[in-house]
Amino acid sequence: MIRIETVLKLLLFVSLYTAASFAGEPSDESAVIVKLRSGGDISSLLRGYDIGKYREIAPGIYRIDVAADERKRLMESLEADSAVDYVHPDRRKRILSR
Amino acid sequence: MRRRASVLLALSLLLLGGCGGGSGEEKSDSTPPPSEIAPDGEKYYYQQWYINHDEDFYESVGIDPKAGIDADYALSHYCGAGVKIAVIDDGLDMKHEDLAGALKASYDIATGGSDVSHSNPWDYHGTAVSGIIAARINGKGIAGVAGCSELIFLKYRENMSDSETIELFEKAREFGADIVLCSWGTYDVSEAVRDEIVDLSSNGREGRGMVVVFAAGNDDRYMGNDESAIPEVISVGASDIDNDRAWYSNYGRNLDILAPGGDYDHAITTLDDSGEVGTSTIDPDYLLYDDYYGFVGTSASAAIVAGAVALMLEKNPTLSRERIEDILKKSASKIGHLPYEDGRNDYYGYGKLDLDAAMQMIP
Repeated sequence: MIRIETVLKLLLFVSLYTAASFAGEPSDESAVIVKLRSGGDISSLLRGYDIGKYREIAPGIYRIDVAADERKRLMESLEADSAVDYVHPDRRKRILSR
Repeated sequence: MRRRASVLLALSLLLLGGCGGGSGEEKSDSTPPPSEIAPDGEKYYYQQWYINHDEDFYESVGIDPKAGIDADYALSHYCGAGVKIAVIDDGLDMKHEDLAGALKASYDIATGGSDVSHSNPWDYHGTAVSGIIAARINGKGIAGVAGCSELIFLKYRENMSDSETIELFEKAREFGADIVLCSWGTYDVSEAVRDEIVDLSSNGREGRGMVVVFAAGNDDRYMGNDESAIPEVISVGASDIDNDRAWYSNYGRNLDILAPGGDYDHAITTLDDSGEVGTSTIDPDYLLYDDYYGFVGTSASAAIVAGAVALMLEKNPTLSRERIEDILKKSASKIGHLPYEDGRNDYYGYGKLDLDAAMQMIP
């Protein structure tokens, strides 16, 4: 038999954990990751777009926050630029423990 | 991989639904004398069939005499002293008695802080793999494969963006890791994450290459576009007590090596969250080989290989990542019934880890 207190405690925990899991996570729907070729200048590539912020997350790789309605245009522009190696959305993925 | 996870998930859903390095070629100066790293005094060492051939235990359980990794010489002379191993995982029991003094640096991607404690009772995984690597030689419970190594713990979150994954690998670089253990995967690695892993493997550790070890996965499937299939990482599958490939172990052309991962009835003895939050059924602080929720899978196998690499780097810190990988492949034991072509096949890689043979190949 499972005691009702145990069930209630577990329920409270699961609820709090679920809420905590979603709270505070940045939305990545509009963020993109771009890798520049050697010598590429990120600031010049982003001129003319509604950019929130960007930062270098690894050598030559940048994460760019961009307004959602601007993302497609920005990605197409970056993909066409010879200074860019590749660009893709900053997607969330489920990490599978093994 | 544990039955408990699915049970807890089902229970949760039910409730929600119903209610709402150093340098030089000499052995590290910090290596303790053999008498201080002898693991015989650990309470559960006899159960650690993956590193310890205890004849009575092997016989009573029915373990193939060659199922372990052949580590007697290595474990009696080396313990990973001076080697830093970063573990990227779900959380750590930072106060576990068998990890006292092991943790040197930590980072939680969700908070940006250094508290990497588990977030919930079923985040046992990080403590289990950390124990396999770095459990101290202290007469408490078990012996880590590299029981003197320095642990860096980097806590991930379940749904992680590519940029966050890259940030964790960059933390490993920042903290000076020699080895990174990743007992996880996504089957969907992006170009940016792939680039980051390749860069660390090629240019990390002051140009010698950081050794990135990935678990191949427990789904008896082709590795596909998984992190473990990146050629520059050491991809580790699982073997069982019959000294054969474990039935669940993933396969593919980039699988490098096998190491013991056990099965449901013959798990890998390691640490559990201590005290009430743990889920072990026999000893509250340890997951034993016959525990109802025993630790099984390629996560364990990868942790064993990461620990083995630490001993190799203790013996010779100048080894490059490529050289380490080469030694592991050439010294591996050719187990199983499938033929090996050019030294390998897709189900066994280059064979099963043979640690003493690998150590003998190190100059």
